[in-house]
Amino acid sequence: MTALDHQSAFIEPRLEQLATAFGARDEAAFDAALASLLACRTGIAAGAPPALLGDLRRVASDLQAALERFSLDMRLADFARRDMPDARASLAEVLRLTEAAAHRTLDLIERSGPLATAVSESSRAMLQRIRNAESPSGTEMGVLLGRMSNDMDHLRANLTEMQLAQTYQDLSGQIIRNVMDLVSEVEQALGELRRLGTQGHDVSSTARPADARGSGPAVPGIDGPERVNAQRDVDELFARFGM
Amino acid sequence: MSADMNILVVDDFSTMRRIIKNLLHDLGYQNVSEADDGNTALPLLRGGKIDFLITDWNMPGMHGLELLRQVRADPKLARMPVLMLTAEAKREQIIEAAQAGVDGYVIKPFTAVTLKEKIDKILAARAAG
Repeated sequence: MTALDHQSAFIEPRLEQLATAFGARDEAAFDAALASLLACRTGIAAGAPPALLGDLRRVASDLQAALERFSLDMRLADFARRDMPDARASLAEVLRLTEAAAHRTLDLIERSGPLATAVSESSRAMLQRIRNAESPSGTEMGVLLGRMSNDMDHLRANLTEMQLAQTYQDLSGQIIRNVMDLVSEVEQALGELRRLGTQGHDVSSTARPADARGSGPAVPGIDGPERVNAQRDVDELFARFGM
Repeated sequence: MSADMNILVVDDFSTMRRIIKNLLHDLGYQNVSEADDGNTALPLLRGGKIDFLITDWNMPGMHGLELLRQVRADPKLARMPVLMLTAEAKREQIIEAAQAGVDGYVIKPFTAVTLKEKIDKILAARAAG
């Protein structure tokens, strides 16, 4: 039902009065009927119909919602234009930091393995000679011990470097925290948008469609009992398939 | 199959590929190549020189389950031993992978012992069958 329908009870008699006054060329009656019609339309006449006031309230409410949405749209526009690209770049940096740290640590591990092996083999060889009642000369012992000392110094330095490589955790953690703050802001804005868009309507939440790509490692507090907890649970499931 | 077999490791994270490769070297498998998702893995597999596939699931481009299906659908690759090594741990996912024909499933984080056990089990099953 349109606003006009709501107002027809008021407008129709006034239109008739207007038409009658016009037909009778009664200027005074015409002016009075026109003024009454205009007053009716603006709702300021005495006894303006509730439906008209209801329409005005709805218009005012829609306007307010539109202004809120405009303000929200500006926020979302800022998110889309500036904050999201920044967040993406931040997370890319976290990936880079963690990858670099892991490779650095692996480099040091790969370098340390041969050092430890060399020390072990040298000392074992010397021990065997001693057990065989062979007496290594002082020079031989000096060379061996010097080499072992050198290797162990390098090994110790590698361990220190490995420790330093873990500082990525602090740097990437700060970046991730900033992104988490942004996600909270976006979540809030989307919540407001949803509220504005669904006022008066019952909207049930929709589950995220299943993605065959997978969702990655379990996150405590998010992933539920549908995930297995240990390799033995996987093995039990597999056993049902005869594997 | 022996320690000379050619193994392809597929994972979108270079660090994970490196760790798996190092573990395989420690187990005596020296011929290890890499790919970062199913799309780069398939041409290597179709090249005919790969004897064993170890793949992640959650990868950009072609994910691991789709790679498995493509391998099983290709007559030249259908018998390839496939071990899935992934953080995806939902029961229905494990069942889905089993039904798609995966030979073994290891969830991350994993140990070197588990990796060795699963590879040995797959190879033993292939040798027996």
